[in-house]
Amino acid sequence: MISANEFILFYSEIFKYLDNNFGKEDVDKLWEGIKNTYCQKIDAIIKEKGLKGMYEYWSKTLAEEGGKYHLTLTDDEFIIDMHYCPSMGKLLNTHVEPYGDYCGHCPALYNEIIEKYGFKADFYIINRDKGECRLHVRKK
Amino acid sequence: MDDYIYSQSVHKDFHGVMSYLIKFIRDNHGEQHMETFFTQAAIYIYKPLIERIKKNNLIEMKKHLEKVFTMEGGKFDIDYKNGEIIFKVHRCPAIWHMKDHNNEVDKDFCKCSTELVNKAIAKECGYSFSVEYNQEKGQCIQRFWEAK
Repeated sequence: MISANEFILFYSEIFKYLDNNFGKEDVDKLWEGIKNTYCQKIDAIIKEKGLKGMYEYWSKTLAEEGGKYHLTLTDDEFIIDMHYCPSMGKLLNTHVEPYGDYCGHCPALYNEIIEKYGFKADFYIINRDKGECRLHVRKK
Repeated sequence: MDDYIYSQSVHKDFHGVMSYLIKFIRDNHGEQHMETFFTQAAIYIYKPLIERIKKNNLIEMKKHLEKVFTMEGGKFDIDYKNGEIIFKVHRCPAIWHMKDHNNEVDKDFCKCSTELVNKAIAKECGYSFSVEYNQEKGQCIQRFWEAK
């Protein structure tokens, strides 16, 4: 069994393998497939609860994954200030060199789902090598 | 694996995404690429474990299996004697997490995440590996022993 904690290392490596052998379009195709297959939970909770649903979803998943972050929820906004990404953190603390566009999987998985329910999602990579980023969601 | 990996909190939904990765690479690029990817990735990712096994023998693999299966709440028995590990998994935490959450378990899940990966690690260290698995039940018997 590849453990859940080791998964991230294989996740990054398959991006490299696909990119090297079949091009970045194939990585994008993989992300599209993951979004369509494994993001129904977040889709449903955003559809039902909007910004509160985003807060609820990421409160649970980030608590499980670890990392250092701050979540902000107001009537009009939801913000993830990621100070140390748990996913990138696993790569930064091992010998495994992260895929160049590793952070690209986050907006690829979530932005379209968020925006189809009347929100604008902006994703900022602040420092990939420190696992710092920001997701800022606003009502349109 | 590295200590950092052993000490982190566990997000078991990743097993479902692993299942999807297997399906994606096989269905889009064929079984050969699926096998090549998991074999090559295992040798690179498990480099620290491979180095420890080369240095201290299979006791390091025993420690590794105990740690990751305990972290995820698996049920197993492990026996290490006469230079051989016999690892019996009675309830695989990955398979049962996916089943409990109605995730599709890819037909090659055990082949990729156990057979190809552990065979690659064993071969790198000069050991042999075999596994008999029942993916539907989330059970398997794994053996590691010194290659003749």
